[in-house]
Parts: sequence; structure tokens; C-alpha cells
Amino acid sequence: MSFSLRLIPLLPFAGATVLLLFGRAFSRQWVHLIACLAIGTAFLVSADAFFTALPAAHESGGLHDIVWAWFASGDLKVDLAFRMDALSGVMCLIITFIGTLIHIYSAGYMSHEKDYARFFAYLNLFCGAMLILVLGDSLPVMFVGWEGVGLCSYLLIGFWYGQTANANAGKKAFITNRIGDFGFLLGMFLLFSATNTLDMPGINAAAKAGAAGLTEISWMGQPVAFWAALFLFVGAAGKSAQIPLYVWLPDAMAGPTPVSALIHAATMVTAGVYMVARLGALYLLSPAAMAIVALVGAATAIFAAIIGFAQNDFKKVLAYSTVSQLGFMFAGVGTGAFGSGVFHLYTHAFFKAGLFLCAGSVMHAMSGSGDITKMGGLGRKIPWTHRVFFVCWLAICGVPIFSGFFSKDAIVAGAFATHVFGESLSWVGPVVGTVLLLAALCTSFYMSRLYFLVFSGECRADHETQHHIHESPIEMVGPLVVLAVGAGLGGLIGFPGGLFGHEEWNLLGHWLEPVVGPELHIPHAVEVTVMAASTAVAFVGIFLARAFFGGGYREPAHQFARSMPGFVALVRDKFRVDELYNFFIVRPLRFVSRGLFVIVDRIVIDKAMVEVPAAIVGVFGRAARWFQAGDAQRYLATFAIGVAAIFYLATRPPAPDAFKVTIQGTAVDVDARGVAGTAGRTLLYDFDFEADGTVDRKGSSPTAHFVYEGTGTYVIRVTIKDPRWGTSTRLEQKVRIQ
Amino acid sequence: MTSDYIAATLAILAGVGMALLLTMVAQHVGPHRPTKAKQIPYEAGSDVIGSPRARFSVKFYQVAIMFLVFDIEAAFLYPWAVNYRKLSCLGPLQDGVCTAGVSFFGLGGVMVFMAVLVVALAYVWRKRAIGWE
Amino acid sequence: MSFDLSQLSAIVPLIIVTGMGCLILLAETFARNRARTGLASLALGGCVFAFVAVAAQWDAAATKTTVLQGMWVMDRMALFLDATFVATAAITVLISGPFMREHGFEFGEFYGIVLFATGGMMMVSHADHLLMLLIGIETTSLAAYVLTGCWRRNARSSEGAMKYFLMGAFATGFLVYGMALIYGTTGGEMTYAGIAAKAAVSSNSSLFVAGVYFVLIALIFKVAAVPFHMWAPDTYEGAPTPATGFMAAGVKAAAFGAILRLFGTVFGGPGLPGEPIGWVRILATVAILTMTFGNLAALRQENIKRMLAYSSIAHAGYLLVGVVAVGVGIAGAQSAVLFYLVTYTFTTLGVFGVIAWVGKRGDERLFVDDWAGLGTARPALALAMTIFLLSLGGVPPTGGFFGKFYLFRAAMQSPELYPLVIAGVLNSVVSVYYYLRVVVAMYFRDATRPLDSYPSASMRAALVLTAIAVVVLGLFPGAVVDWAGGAGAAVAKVAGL
Repeated sequence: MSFSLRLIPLLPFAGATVLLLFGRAFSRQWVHLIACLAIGTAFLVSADAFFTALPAAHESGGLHDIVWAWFASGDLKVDLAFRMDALSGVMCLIITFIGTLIHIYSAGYMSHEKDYARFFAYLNLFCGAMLILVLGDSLPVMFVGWEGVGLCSYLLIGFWYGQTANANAGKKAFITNRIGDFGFLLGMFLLFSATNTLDMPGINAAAKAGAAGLTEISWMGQPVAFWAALFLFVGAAGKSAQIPLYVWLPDAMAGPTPVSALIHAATMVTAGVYMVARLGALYLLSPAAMAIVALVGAATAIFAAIIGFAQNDFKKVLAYSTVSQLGFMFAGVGTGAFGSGVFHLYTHAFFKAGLFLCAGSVMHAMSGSGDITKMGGLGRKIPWTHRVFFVCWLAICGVPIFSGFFSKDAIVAGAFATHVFGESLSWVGPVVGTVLLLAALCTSFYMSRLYFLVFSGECRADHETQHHIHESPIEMVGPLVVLAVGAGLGGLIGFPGGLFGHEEWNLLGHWLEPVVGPELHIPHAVEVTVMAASTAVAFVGIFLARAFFGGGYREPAHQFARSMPGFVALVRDKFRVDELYNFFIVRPLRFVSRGLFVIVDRIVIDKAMVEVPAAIVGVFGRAARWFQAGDAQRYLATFAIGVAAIFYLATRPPAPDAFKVTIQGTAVDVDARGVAGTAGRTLLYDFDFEADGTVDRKGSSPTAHFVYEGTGTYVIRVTIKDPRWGTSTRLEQKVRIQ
Repeated sequence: MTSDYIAATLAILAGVGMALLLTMVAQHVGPHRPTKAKQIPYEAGSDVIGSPRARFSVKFYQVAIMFLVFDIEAAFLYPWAVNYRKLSCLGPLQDGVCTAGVSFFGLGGVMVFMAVLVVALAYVWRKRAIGWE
Repeated sequence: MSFDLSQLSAIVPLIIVTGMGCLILLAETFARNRARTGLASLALGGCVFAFVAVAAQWDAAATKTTVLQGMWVMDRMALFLDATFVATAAITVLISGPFMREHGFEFGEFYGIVLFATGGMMMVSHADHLLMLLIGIETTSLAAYVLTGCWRRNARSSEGAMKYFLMGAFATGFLVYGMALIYGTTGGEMTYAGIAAKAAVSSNSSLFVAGVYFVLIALIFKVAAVPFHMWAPDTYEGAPTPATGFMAAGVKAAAFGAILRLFGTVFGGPGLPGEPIGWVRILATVAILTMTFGNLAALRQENIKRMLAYSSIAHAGYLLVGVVAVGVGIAGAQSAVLFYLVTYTFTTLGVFGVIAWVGKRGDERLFVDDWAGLGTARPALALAMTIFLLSLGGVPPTGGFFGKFYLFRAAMQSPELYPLVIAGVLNSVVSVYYYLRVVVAMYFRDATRPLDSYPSASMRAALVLTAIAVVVLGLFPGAVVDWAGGAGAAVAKVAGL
């Protein structure tokens, strides 16, 4: 079934183009009107596609739009094509809807900005790239979007480029993401060589059919599918900020707040989760890869949540919270609960965007400061922001009825009930589930800490700042309220109807079923237990935080900090992971590069060229005097050494390590084939079976057969000769004939 | 085979040896009565002005290079001239006589060659590289 | 003699470019003190005619034919490269005129020499005989030495030319010596087909193998592969910027053409005679060294021209991965190399074109810091530069992405080459870092000095053309991939060799 899906990414791109080219000529009203219109229309088109055209096309793999045959050569055919099925459709709706809200919000938030048009152009550009990412029907198309969002994120983090911190943060994000790209590209190449296609449906079909290319055992006893999945997960981890590649996301908060909300919370960072869900069939082929995804996700979830305890910057808390929530999503898709992972992605998009925009609103009110130790009592002064934050807070804590409750619960229950890991790895599911429950407790605690420190008690800011506190304008508050409604009630879309015998109440699961397979069957007992546990966890976290921070810093908080100062400091320093990287990776690299410089430049060229024995020095010295042209003699010397090196490599004797001996009675078979360094060369073999100096077999055959006259211990000596250069290697091996 | 080389080697040795021999003989046999006047570079009596290591004008090199280039190009005409008959025949020569009809290749080839030389000559001439101003 | 005039039709493009070169030399001397733009138009006209002539031969070249006593081969691979060379020359001509005028050295012969070099490259790509290869390489190299040194008032230009010449002469020595060894050990064979027929037998002779390695060394010297790269940074930095682009794109493409033809067919890989020579193994090592060294060295450069010189070394490394893939007998690797060459040609020409246009007389603006604020001062130019840099880094949807994509995909088909592919992808990931440094300077920093530049229609035309080419190669690579496919098939394993 066809639908002009191309319109969806094209609209934001058109907006970006217009704004980039003519933006400076327009007034501010026109600029945000154009930008909002572009993304808003894209939302309407997506909604039209999703609700009217898609239901009819559910069975045939969704809506499909081939724009042009991108490239075709031999066995490789890729179209620039878009596909909307339930999964990409849901993503599309999230991106365009939240994107629209954030565009509107930005009109208020960025109203004092100098480069107004450029900001909106980048925002539009980002939305377009993100839509290409989710709608792309093949890995290369997805990669275009993947790189595009990375570039926009980089541009937007560094938007306030006057500040060095921002430029550095942009750089950090960029480098980390390139590591991810490396994984993505290798995964893509590997998948192509295994399945001969790059189309998502093609890959998934091959994976479902268990194509030989994918299940073939390769390196380290794992199937090709494992390595492809693992490489792609490296890509996903880079984009979605998972251990160990999460370090860029907290720094990325240096960018404008709406950017943090849109890119670094609601959309771009979820691309990795989306990709894993998209290629679910591939991951299901390899339980080991699934286990890695799930464990990394769970570890990230709890790790980032603990770091969140001690952060004192509003946006930093939210950033670590995002890393942690992304960990939940990966744990979801990693345990085979693809629907739940996407469900949490969807609810998270609402409440996290809401939280970030509240952060923006609060910072707006606090004259730009994000230091929560200087806040407090804001609930009365900015009531609307407070109400919205309240709803989103309950949502992320997982209080029943609020959206986060349902999605988090689905993931945790899925982890306990999953069977995808098979027998040997069956411990993974319960471990992941338990860790996630703990992470949920931490989440509830640090989010409540944030809430109490900011909104309850007395204001701790200085008088000047207090004086200026004011509620944000309507274009900022409006989107906030909409997001709060979504954060509050949006979870009902994935209502666990199975509990009441009405599977069809789970609308989202129902939609996603044709794409990611049916929802995991979760036994009632598990479901109910998990629900009870996560409800309890949410409230325990909130009450603990209230005891510590209700109405400001309370005595227990101080006591705790005093009793374990080392731990608190460690947590506040984010476990010193940046320092660890600096110590183990950056510094050794710098050391190696400086060492190389010394060795190559100072020693090899200066010393070896100048101070080698007299004969060579004489030759080169005379040449040097003769040329009299700066460094050219060194160049020529290097040239000559290069030639020598090539000839050394070419004439190097074969360097075998061992040969194979098979003993049968008193007869032995020696096989010197395939020993390292002999492939593709014409060689002569001498076999001396008693190591007595007489060659028993010789010739160009690498195998020989020999019968010993009696039992005993013998040494077999094989000499491999390269007749062309007259080089040879000798190998010996002891055998015992019984 | 080898005997050819022996003869050639002998000829070379004889040539070089004769030169060396004569030089040595002249040095050792001739009378040596150096006087101050004989030691100066120009025995005729002119005094030396300045150092012999004076820099030559680049024009010398320019002319020398020009000469070399065109000289070598002219040398290419010899093999062409030797093979002219063969090159101008459509078929193989029979006892040095062409029976197959005339080919333009012999003349045409060298004309192209000469044309390139003329272009080069015109260029250096217009660039005043062969004058001495 | 088996010669008739109709054979000349095979070398019409060569006749056009060299004839036009002669004409330009004469016009330059006779029409003294006239506007030099006339010369540029002549050169451009020559390129257009040559391009038409090349295109006209394409259909007929579907089957390989050899003319001029086995000297000159006509096939699609040669024509594909010819078209690239001619385009390179045309764009260089467009860029160089305004550049020379701005910097005050009106070297009218420049255009003629560019055309001579183009003729030399055509000889290289068409060579089916060792002597033709030698003449072609020497014609190209001599022209390149002059182009490097033609900015006489600039000491760096002379220095670069001198070094290039010395090293080049050294490398030519290896080439000729290698050819002599091959000639001797094959019993007097100089044509590729003749050598190929005897390669299997001759490869038992160490002298033959040494000869092959000498030729290989001379050819990878021309592409600036480690450890024969030493000349490249000095030469590329010293040469007038348009000449740098011309050399980085054209000379490299010609040398790779020769490598593909010689090592892909004559000294072939598995399944071809001569496989025991073992050059594949060594070239794989060279490829890894080349790309790693190029990228690591580029990381430290502040001078953009020098940085791009190292980057061009790195690109030679990626291309060598393709050659290695050809060597182990992967079908389609030839086409991947050829396609990569096209994308690299346009990207490189564009990038050096932008550099040529940013500077002014007495102020070349070669340092990264000098580029701060270009994004606001001259948005179109900055956009073009961004496109080229992204393409060099292999970021989609630019041509550079597909170049790398095809290349690595081809190499990926043999598990032996996984280390090469991993090194290649890792390197291209690293390389984006230093390319983006320039982008960051252009967009994220404020200008320290005013950034205005001389107006030039031909410069604009060249840059628009190259930028469009790079984007089109990324968005609609289909047609060019097909052509490269046809061209690559011409030097794929040839039956009977």
C-alpha cells in the first residue's frame, strides 16, 4: 500500500531550507510560524497516515513509499524508501507531536536569542533527519538519518558556541557517537554479507527463517547474527547513551533546554532502542546478544540512577535520569519485550520532555540558574510549572495510573517472565528484573529529592533572584500542560488488559503486534506481584526522599552525608568515570602518540638516519651534501628503507608455528598445510622423521607418510624452503610410537 | 659468444690503458723545471683577475639545456632514417624492395615529431630563451 | 607495417588534449599581454571536445581492442578514467585562472601543462605495454613538477617542486629497473598480455618477482602510500592550490588505473597466474600503514592544506584496500575502486577550490583559525566546504559515503580482509574529527579578520559543479555506479590470460 510518506520528513526539511536561506530577512513571528507550521503539518500527515491509511495496510507490512532507486549494482539494491508500520508510525507520531510542542515552547524560551532563525532551522533539520531515521526502510537510509541527527545534535549542543564548555561538550558527544557509528557500519556490512540484503523487512525475514548466513558459527564460537547484533548494539549504545558510551549525554545539557528536551530526552537518544526493536528478529536469533543488551541496559539503569542522587544541577539530574530510563528501555527490548520497550519509550518521551521543559521554565524564572541547592518553595510562585512537574514526577516515579507505572511495570514483569535466553542464560531475566526494581527505587528517590528541593519549603535563592521569579508566558506553559496530560494519562494506551481478560485493552501492544510479534505472555501471579512491588518501591522512594529533603535539606540528609562522606563524594563526582577514561584511554593515547613522535621523529629519523654505522652514514652523508636540499635526503633514506622493508617482507621465510601429526600404530602422517605464512606460496618441504640428518621425504607436497620400524620416541623435523629466495624454516616435533 | 666480449674488453682495455700509459710516461719521462712564471694559470703573462669560482650566468645553463634537448631530439632521426624504407611500405619489404604499395606512416610519423619540435622551438624563441641579451 | 589511419581514431582524445596544449603554449607566447582568460577558454574548450570524444568511444569500447602495435588498449576502464581526468582538468582550469590572477603570477603555460598532464594520464590508463606506461607516467610527472613549482615567487612552491622532482626521479629509477627485470625474465615481453602469459612460469624467478615489486613500489610512490609518502605533504602544501587539487585527484587516479590494470590482470590474484608473487599480503600491510599514518598525522595539522595532504595519503590507504580486494579475487572490487576515485576526484577538487578562493593576495588563509566565521561571512562557500569535508569523511548522503561503502563492502566479502575493513572503518571514523574541526571553525567561531574575497564567476561555477557532483553521487549514484561497473569489468579477470 502506498502513501506519500516522503512528505513527512520533507516538510521539516523544507522549513529548515527556507529558514537557513531567508531566515535573517524574516521577522521573529514569521520564523517561528514557519518552523511550527512545518513540523505541525508533518504531525498531521503522520496522524493521517497512521490512523486512516495504516490500519488497512497492517497485514501487508505497512505503508511503503519508494522515492527513487538509490543505488543498484550487481547484488546490491537499495531504494530510498520509507516504510510506516505500527512501530515507525508510533515513533513518527511521538517525534512530530512532541516536536511541535517543543517548537512552540521554544518560541517563548528563545525569544531573546540573537540567532533565532538559525535555531529554528536546526530544530527543523533535526526533526527531518529523525523522521528519516525512523521511516527509513533499509539500513543505509536509516544511517543517513542516524548521521543527520548526530550532526544536528552536535550543532545544537554547540549553539551557544561562545562558551568553551559547550564546544567541548559538542566534541565529546561527537566522538562518542563516532564510536557508535563504527559499530553501526560494521554491523551493516556484516549483515549484508550474511543476508545479501539491507532492507529491514528482508533482514528480519532472513532472521526469522534462520538464514544459513546468519546462523553460521563464526568467530569465538558465536553465530554471525551475534556479532552483527553486537556491532549494531555498539551503535545503539553510542546513540542512546548506554554504558560505557553514556558520558556525552550529561555534558550535552550545555545546549539550550528545548534541545535537551527534544533531542537528548524524547527522540534522538531513543534511536538505539528503536533500532534494536526494529531488528528484533535478528536479536532473537542470538540469546547471548539479547543477554548483553538486557544486562547493559539494567546496569545503566541503576548506575545512572545512583549518580542522579548527588547532582545539584537541575538539568544534570534529568540527564542522568534519561540515561537511566534508556537503560530501562534497553532492558525491555533485551528481554524480548520489544513492545514494552517501545511503550516505555513513548511514555518517557512525554514525561521527560515535560520535566525538561519544566526545568527550562524554572531556570527561566530563576534568571538562568539551574542550581537546585539555591531553589525551594517555587510551588507557590510558578503554580503551572509546579503542577505539570508534579504530574511528570509521579509518572517517572511509577505511581499507579500515571503513565510511567504501566510501562515500567511491563518491562519489569517481562524481565521476570521472559524465555528468550534459553536454558543456559535463564538467570539473566530474574537478575535484570531485580536490578530494574532497585533502579526504580533509586529513580523514585532522586526524582523526589529534586521535587522537594525545588518546589517545597522556603526559597534559598538570594533576594535579587527571588524578586524576579515569575511564571513563564503562555507559549511555554501551554505545551507544558499538554505534555502533563500525556504524562498522566498516556499510559492507558498500553493498559495491561490481560489482567482482566481483555487483551484488546492494550491498544499499543495490539498495534505493534504485527511488527514486533505478540506481547510476552506474563502469568497473572508475576504481573500482580510486580505491580505491587513497583508500587511499593515508588512510594518507599518518595517517602524516603521526603524524610531527607521534604521542605528543604533536613537533618537526616546531613547526617547521611556526614556518615558516609567518601561515598557521597564519589557519587557526586559521577563515580569519576570521566577521570577513569581520562586516565585509561586519553592519557595513554597521548602518551603513545608522544612516544611515537619521539621514536619516529627523534630516534628513527634523527638518530638512525644520522648515527648508524660509518658505511651507511658515509653513503647518505655524501648524498646529503650532494643534494643540499633541506630534508630531501631523509625522505630518500626513508624511501630506501621502505623498499628494503618491502623486500624483507617479501623474502621473509615462511613462519609456521606447528604442523599436524597423526599417529596410527607405527605409521605417522605429517601435514604441514595451512601453517601460518605459507598460504599462496610455492614451497619445498623436507621431512626428516628421525631427526638424524637424512631427509626421508622431500618435494613440494606438504604432507608425508612414514612407517617407523620400532616403537620409541622420535623427533620429526620438517624444513620448509622457499626456493625463490633460498630462505627456509625448520620445525621440530616429538612423537611417541607405542 | 664469450669470445666477442673478450675482443671488446681487450679493445676497451687497450684504449684506456694507452691513455693512462701516455699520461704516466709524459709525467715521468719529461723534464720538470718549474719557475714561478710557469706556475701561473696563464703562462702568456696575463694576470688572474678574481676567483675562478665565479658564478656563471644562468644563461649558459639555459643555452646548454636547449642544445641538449634539441640535439637529442635530432638524434632520434637516425633510427627513423634507417627504417624509413620499412616504415613507408604497406607490407613487409622483400630484399629491401617495397612491393606492397606506399604507406604514409613513415613520413607522417616524423612530420608529427617535427611539428612538436617546431612548436617547442617557436615557444623558446618567443620566450627569448635562445637569445643572449 | 600494420598501421592505418583508422587506428588514430582510438587516440582522438589524446590528440585533442595534447594538440590544444601545444596551441595554448603558442598562443601564450604570440598573443602576449592579452587577457589570459582566452587561454583558459581554449583549455576548457579542449576539455569539452576531449570529453565528447571519450563519450563517443564508450559504446564501441564494450569489447576490448588493442591498437598501435599493442601499445594502446581501448576499453571502458580506460575511458572511464579518461572522462575523470578530463573533468579534473576542466575544473582545475576554472579554478586556477582567478587564483593566479589574484596572487599575481600569471603563468599562462599553466593551462597547457595541465592538458599535457591529462594526456599523460590518458596514456597511463590506456597503456597495454610497459613502455607506454613509462612514457605516460613520466609525461604526467614532469608536468606535475612544473605545476608544483610554477609559483616562482613563493619559496615553498619551489621547495615542493624540488623535493617532488628528486623523489619522483628516484621512483622512476625503480620503475625502469623493474621493467627491465620483467623484460629480461620473461624473455623479452613488454606487452601486458605477453607478460601475463609468462607470469606463472616466470614467477619462480626471484628476479621477476623483484621486478614486479620495483614496479609496485614506483606506482605506490605516485599515490603517496606509506613509506613512499614523504614528498606529498611538502609538495601539496607548496604547490599553488589548484595544482594541488589537480595532483591529488588526477595523478592519484591515473596511478590507481595503472595498478588496477597491471596488478589486477597481469600479476593477478588467486585464480590468476602469478598468484604466488605474494604482493597482496604486502599491499595489505601498506594499506593499513598508509591510512593509519595519514589520519594520525592529519590530526595534528593546523595548516589546512597540509592536513588535506595527509588526508589524501589516508585516502590512498582506503583505495589500496580495494586493490587488495582485487588481488584476492573479489568480483566487483575494481568497480568499487573506480567509483571511489570519481567521488574522491570531485571532492578533492572542490575542497582545494574552496581553499583557493578563501585566500587573498599576500594572505592565503591556510590555518584552521583563519577560517573562523566563514559560515556567517560567506555562507554558500562554507556550505560547499562542509559538503566536501563530510564527503571526505564518508558521511552520508554524500558521494564519499558511497565510495567507502562500496569499497568496504567489496573487501568485506573475504573474511581474510576483515582486519583491513575494520582498520578502514575505524580510520574513517577518526578522520571525521579533523574534518569537522574546520567545520566547527567556520560555524562556531567568530571571524578574527574580515573575510571578503575577490569575485570570480569561473570559481563559483567550478565549486557549484563539484558540490552538485558530490551530492548527486551521494543521492543518485546509480548511473555512475553502472559506468564504474562496466569499467571495472574490463579489468576483471580476463579469460585466456
